[in-house]
Amino acid sequence: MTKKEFTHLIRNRRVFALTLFMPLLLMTIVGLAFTGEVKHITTVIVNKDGRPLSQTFVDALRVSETLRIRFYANDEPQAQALIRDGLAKVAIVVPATFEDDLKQSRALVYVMVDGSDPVSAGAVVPVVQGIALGFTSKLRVQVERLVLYNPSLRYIDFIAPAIVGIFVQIFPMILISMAIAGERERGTIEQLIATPVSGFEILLGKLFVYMGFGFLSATSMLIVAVYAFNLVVRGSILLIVVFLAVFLTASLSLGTLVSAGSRTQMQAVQTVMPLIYIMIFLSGTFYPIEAMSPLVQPISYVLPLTYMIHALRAVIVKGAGLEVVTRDLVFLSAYTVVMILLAVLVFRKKLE
Amino acid sequence: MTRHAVETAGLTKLFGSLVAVDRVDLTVKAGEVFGFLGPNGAGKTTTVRILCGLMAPTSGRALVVGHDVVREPEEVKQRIGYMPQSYGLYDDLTVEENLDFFGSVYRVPSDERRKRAGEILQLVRLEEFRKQFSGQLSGGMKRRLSLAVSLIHNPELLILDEPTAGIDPPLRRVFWQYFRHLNRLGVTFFINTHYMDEAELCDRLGLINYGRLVAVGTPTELKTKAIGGERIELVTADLSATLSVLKDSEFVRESSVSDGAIRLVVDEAASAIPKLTSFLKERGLEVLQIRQSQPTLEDVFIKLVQETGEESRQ
Repeated sequence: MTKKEFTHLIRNRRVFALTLFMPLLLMTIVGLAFTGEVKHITTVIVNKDGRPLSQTFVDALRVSETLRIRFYANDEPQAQALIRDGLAKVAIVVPATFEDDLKQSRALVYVMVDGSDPVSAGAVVPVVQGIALGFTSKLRVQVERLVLYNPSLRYIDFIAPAIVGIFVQIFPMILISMAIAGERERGTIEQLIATPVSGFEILLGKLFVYMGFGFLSATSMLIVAVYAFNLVVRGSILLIVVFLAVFLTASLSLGTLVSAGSRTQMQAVQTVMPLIYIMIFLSGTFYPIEAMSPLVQPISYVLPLTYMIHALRAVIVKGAGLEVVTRDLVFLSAYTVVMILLAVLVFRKKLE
Repeated sequence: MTRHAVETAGLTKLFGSLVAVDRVDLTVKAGEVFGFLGPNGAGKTTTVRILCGLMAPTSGRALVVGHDVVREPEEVKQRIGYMPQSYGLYDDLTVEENLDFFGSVYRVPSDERRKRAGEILQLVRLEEFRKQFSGQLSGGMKRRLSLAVSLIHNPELLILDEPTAGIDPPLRRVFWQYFRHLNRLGVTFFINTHYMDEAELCDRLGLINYGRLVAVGTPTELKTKAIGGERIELVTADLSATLSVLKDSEFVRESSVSDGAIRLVVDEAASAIPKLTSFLKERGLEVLQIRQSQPTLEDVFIKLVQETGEESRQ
């Protein structure tokens, strides 16, 4: 009996591989992605003072692993624009009177954080405080926090756009791959392709239905987030719709590709599962990508969900316009075109 | 010139190194009921799938209702009806919805679709089940629905892959009534089967084994071909004496004894019977009974299949 059961297990290679290697893969990914401390937060420095003492303070900031100073701006509006455009998450402002204030025993430094990423925003202030404390023991540098967007640093504002992205990715992909594999499993595909309907039409029919489903699901999620959890949608609804349409098309095409190798619905789901795990953990849903190990960051940057979540956060929480999310839209559109072409290519109207 | 329903030349399909269909040259005339007969795994289903445009042949050509299946598959599909061996309709749609859906993919206008669905459901006696989910139908009803679906767009050729496999004899008879009824209305039939009694009902038969078409003809022609002549059954008072006498005669090709009768194969039974009777009388053997006997298709099938089996093993 045991022997027979064991034979079943190893003969079913897909399940065997999935159940044995998936947990290992996930463990590795999670270990590499969630490093425990948030590091390399892109930072912009606004040094209005410019005298030697202020320079020394900026140098002290540069040593920190938590911050990655990438920009220097002249004034706050410039720094704010960088944050709005998603190029920087934090701005550290050294006032013009820094050296004078410090000599009079007490100086102030402002830290502007991007509230749409509460994880980074929360991590940065204590670090700057620590640096300020170590800067001089005699004189005190006081750190003041200014939160841009999502001022109360609510986690829901960070997570809701990501959840929308995730589910718009997952369920349409699972549903369409099951629908196509299901036709094969039930044998209906044979009767269907014996008709003059084209493969493209069969695919299009399925795309439309699950596209509709995706919109319904995204809309209902956003409604719940807005009315039950007070999420404020600051950006353009039209822009969100555009992103959803592009992204849904890509998800559905990916689902079609996945179904190509599956004879049954079960196999289709088994193929989709590993993809889903990787997407959820590596696309910056719960944890900023900048803080992940450089080993997994390249994976993050090829996942379409990364761009979708980035764009949704920018538009919903920061009220960003098209100019801010152009890069995301371009990447997603290119990805979508490639996926559609592959899907049409793979979904051939033949039995083999 | 009359257009043939099916015309293939050198049709071949390989699956890796397996030759599923091997250089088949086949003609099915418009208006006939053609039976495609062969043991399991002989290549019947593969042939039919190629004819329906579901699979591309490895080489060779197939014209179905006048169109090349490789170059104009949609033209072919629009004009033929196909009933696959395994039931392939949507369980979660009702009888009516299945018919309507397939009618729509065949681009039958909706009012015509409704009218036609009504007629077909009446023909296959599924009217009172029209609102039922297909998944809840019995095996036999599913088969009938499957046939109904293949008829929705009024095809000129029906290709049926073992339509009566696994259904009970009364329903099989009913199915053949449908086929004959539709045939009278002008529909050509291409039917895969391995039932001998069904093969007898076809106008012409093609016999396939190991992917090769081994014989084509009417059931009678095939019997003649396989037996090598016509068969006569003979009963005399002294069977062994008769047998030894017949061994020397030149007009008997084969002889054997079974069930108290001598079976002979001759070129032509009608002329052989009087000759045989007088031949035996001259030698003092009285003929108690003499008549022409029909070999069954089963005999033919087994004989031809054995021959080709031996050939392809060599």
